[in-house]
Amino acid sequence: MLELRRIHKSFDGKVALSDISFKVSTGEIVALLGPSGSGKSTLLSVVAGLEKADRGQVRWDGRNLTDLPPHRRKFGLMFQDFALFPHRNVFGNVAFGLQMASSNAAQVHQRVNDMLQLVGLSGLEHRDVSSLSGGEQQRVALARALAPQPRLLMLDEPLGSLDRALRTRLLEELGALLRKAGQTSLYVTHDQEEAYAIADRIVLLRAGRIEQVAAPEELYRWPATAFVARFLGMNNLLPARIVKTGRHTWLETALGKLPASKTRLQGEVVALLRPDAIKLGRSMPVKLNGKLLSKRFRGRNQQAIIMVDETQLVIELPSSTVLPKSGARLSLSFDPRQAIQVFSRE
Amino acid sequence: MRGRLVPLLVWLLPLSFLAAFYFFPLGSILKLSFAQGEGWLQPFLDVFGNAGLRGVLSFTIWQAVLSTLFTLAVGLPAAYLVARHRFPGKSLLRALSGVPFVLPTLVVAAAFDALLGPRGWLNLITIEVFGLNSPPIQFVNTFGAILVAHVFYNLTIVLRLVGDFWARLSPRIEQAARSLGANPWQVFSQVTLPMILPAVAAAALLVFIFDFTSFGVILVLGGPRFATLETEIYYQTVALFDLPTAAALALVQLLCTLALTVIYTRLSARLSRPQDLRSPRIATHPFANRRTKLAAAVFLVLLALFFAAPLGSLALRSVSRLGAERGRVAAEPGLTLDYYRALGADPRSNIFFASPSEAIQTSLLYAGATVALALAIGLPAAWALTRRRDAFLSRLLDPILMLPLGTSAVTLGLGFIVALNSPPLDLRASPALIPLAHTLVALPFVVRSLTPALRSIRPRLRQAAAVLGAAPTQVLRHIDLPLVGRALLVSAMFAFAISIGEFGATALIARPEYPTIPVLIYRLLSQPGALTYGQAMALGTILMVVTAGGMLAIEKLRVADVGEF
Repeated sequence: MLELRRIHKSFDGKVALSDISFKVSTGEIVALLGPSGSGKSTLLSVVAGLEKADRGQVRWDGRNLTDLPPHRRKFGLMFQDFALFPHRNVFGNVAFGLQMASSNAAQVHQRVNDMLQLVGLSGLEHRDVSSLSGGEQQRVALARALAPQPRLLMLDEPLGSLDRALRTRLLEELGALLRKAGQTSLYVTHDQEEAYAIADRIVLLRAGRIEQVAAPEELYRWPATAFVARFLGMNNLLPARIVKTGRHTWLETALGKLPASKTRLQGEVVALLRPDAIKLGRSMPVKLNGKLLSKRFRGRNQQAIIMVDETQLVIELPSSTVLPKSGARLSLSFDPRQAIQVFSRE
Repeated sequence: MRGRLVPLLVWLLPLSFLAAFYFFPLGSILKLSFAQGEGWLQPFLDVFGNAGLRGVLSFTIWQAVLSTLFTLAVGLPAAYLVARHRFPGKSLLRALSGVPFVLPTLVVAAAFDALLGPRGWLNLITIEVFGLNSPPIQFVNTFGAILVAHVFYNLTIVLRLVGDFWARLSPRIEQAARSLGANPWQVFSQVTLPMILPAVAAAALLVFIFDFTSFGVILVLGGPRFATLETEIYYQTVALFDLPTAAALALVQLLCTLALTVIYTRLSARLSRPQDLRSPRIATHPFANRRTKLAAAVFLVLLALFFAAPLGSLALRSVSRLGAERGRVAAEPGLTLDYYRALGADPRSNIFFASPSEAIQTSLLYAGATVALALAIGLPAAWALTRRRDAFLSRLLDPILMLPLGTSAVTLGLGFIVALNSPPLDLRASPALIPLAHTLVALPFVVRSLTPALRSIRPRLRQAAAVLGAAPTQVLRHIDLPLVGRALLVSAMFAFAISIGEFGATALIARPEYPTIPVLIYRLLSQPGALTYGQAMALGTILMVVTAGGMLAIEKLRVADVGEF
């Protein structure tokens, strides 16, 4: 089990990581999610031992590894740019870690062949790595990282440079592969869909700090902050004021006075109106009237941008819903208990 | 403290080497040229006030300008074809074009002599066919010979610098221009040309520098009617013992070449392209129609012939007995190895006091010493250059390391003669003088081939190895050494090829009883007699095989595949 305790790291006075603590259980896949520059890759470097944290500990099964050099940690790291060895062919790259551990040649051969078969590159053993396509290089990098059976595998944006179709397929294969092997993994990505698809839990980073740690469904269902909601693509964030009258809590917004669930927050807040919880028609308790501004077709679903008074709202609908022409008047409704979440102002 | 001290110490070796064997000799030339008269202008008055020397200077510039223009005229279409088209034999052409660059000038001169000289193939054949009394083709000792040899020599610079740069330009940019309504000519003039212009300028500049300081070609193929600054310095030193005039000429030449070298380093720094991982292969496309295909084919075949014919003639001439010689009456048909056997003849029967086999030994000895010296100095220099932390130091010292590239070999030789013949450095009679001079000439090439290799070892690769369980010593053994090892081999071969073929500096400082191979070829070529001519051809062939083999090996071993000079 990997445990990070209060990791701090700064470069030239600029804070890169601040107070990072979380655990990864054996066999668990944890995704580090966040925008670029949020410290994901730096954190991997610290865990791998390539960078030294200013403060804090990296522990494995209760043992402090903080001062252990990278080559003795038995962790694997798959680099974003693959970092394949240009002077070694495919076989030589995958065999590298095994040879460092001085396994015997026959075992190395067997293991490399197994790995290449696993990633679907059998027969390319003797190819020059520079002659491989991006997808093939990526799979060599993966096989190389897996071959020495690391107790923790770290993957830094492993699918970043690939096209969408290949990415989707490899993501599924990768997830199945890691799970089958029971491989404890840390998976860095800036793509929420990737994180949802592969991770048991997601650690969401923002500017070097942990913003939220949650399982994928929980993260999507209950974003902890306005930043998380915005990062996950939930657009309807309205400035609001909490007003408490007796037993009821109300939100004063540009859309009017909306009922809210009980909250410890007070005064100025941010209210999220979940785009997937607003319906067309008047079937739900809270009703609004608006004008259809534009439509965005997004494949499986579609987004309607609707002007309600002076406020622009985005709602998500199945693609099968037939929308009227732009400019048409629409009525909307939602259940506040499902649709509204309140965050503190930052 | 330690972090600052180490790079400084690493710099110390190359810098003190340059100080002792480059700046000190050049400073001595400076001192000598200013010692004569009164005032700073004296050396320039000496050169510009003398009509003969003025003529030498203007001819030097004129021949270099013309040679550069011709080289561009042939090289640019070739660079385009190599960069943008696929054709059979492309890699062969590339390798072939690289060979002349390391060929000793004396070999090139001998090769053209074997093809077009009075005793060359074309003349012999025409005499035979038409029954003439004298050779009909006048090539040797003409201006044309100088130009042709210069183009032959430097074509590869245009091909590499421009061709490689061009190949790496994304064709998307040109396609974008097409999609915006530009016709092919507009695409070329408005988009492609401005983009490749820095590469063209850098190539032209480098070609000009080499033509400007060319020595062997002018001396052997141009003959006594033509004098450039370089040959004039040699003449003033060796024949007239007028060191002050030689020094004044060297000063003028030095100012020109150093200025050009500084501009060149600036330009080539701009060429260090962003690492576009797109393989150059993607940018190539087939020919548009049969006519362009035919035109390209004719051009390429002529180009290949241009490279191959002189070298082939040289090799063939070294095994053919085609003239009367002592003890024999007439030519013999068929092949012979007599000239090669004659190389081992007794030195006492030889008017040069040294047999060819001794010259080969001398050359090998010097080349070995040069390789060791050039690597011992070039490796720390390259290592220091690639350390990013000392970026300021590197920017300052990179051009300094390149300076010998723009300094003519004869000037270096003259500097050695002037500076190193009295304490504190009295090396007049020392056999170390020649390897030292050769190391100076080779150093820029050694550093230039080591730096990209050292840079290619990105810290990422070391990290990747460490994460895979490699201890620091294992990283050194399995990552650094294999990657640098190849580059070391390449540099060693460069140094070897340069040393074994160097003529300009060697001609000045070699002691008469210990000639190197090129010096001996020069002596043999300037003698009458079929046997001496044949020996020159044989020696030239040996040198050609050795250096060309080295160059082909370099082609194979280059790690980063960058056409840097």
